[in-house]
Amino acid sequence: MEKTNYLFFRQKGSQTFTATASQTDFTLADDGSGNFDQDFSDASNDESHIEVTSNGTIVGAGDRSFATNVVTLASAATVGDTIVVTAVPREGTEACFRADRFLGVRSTSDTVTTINFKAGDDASFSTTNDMITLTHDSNANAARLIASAMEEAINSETGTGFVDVLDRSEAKGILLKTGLSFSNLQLDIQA
Amino acid sequence: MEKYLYFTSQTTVDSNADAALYPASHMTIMNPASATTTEVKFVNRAGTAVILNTVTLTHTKNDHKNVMKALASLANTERTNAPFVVVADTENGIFNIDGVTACAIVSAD
Repeated sequence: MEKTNYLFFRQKGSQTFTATASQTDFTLADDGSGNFDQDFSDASNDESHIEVTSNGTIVGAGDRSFATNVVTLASAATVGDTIVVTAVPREGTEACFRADRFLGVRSTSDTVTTINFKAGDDASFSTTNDMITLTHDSNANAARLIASAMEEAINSETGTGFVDVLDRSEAKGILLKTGLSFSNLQLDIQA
Repeated sequence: MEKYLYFTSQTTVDSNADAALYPASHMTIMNPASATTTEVKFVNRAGTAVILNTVTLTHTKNDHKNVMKALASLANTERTNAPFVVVADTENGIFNIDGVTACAIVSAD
């Protein structure tokens, strides 16, 4: 078998607040607006999809609520408390694809580019495939830059075969070498 | 040479899907299933368009990336010429990925 690389993509998903006196509500910068790529206004997201800590201690689900993109603590925070909200990893938050299942790169606009892989659930490749949607700064060359970086990721020589393509949580990846500034990453995985 | 990835999910292998061996080239995608589990999906042995072969590895909280990196390394390993690669062997207490402590296999085909 010819060696193939494994291409890693991860969303951004954490926000830290320094509480003001008696603060109970913490509004997340979601949907690519700063701290989270997930859109928490989506009904499919709920309290189980976030973890909240107060000064390093987990705030139990019964001690907080979560609606749209606002976390509300049952007990008000003390001024200076460090509240950290983190996305709980799940299918759509990160994924590692086989390079030899890569299908292509396509521009959607000068700020949106998509990358497709053969769907993991589709042995006959006859249904919808897996897709990564990248939102980036306006650049007429974006698709070419991303396509070139994808070729580099697919063919790069590494000891493990594991390649960071775009890890927005750690601000790492071959795509960052394009000079493009990425503001959102959405993973649409079929299974 | 093709590598083959071996998994067992039970201390005693005596039931359906307690053990499984998949070609590394049939591994289609790795993704989190929860804060402490990563799913590894394989091409369906029955050839139908539904994932029926999924291995779920239980590991240290939020350590998915390291698990995926280690699994990629095992699938591409050149440290051994042996094509048989043990990933998680609960039966023999062997977990060749740091932080992995359990393995579940779903094989409905």
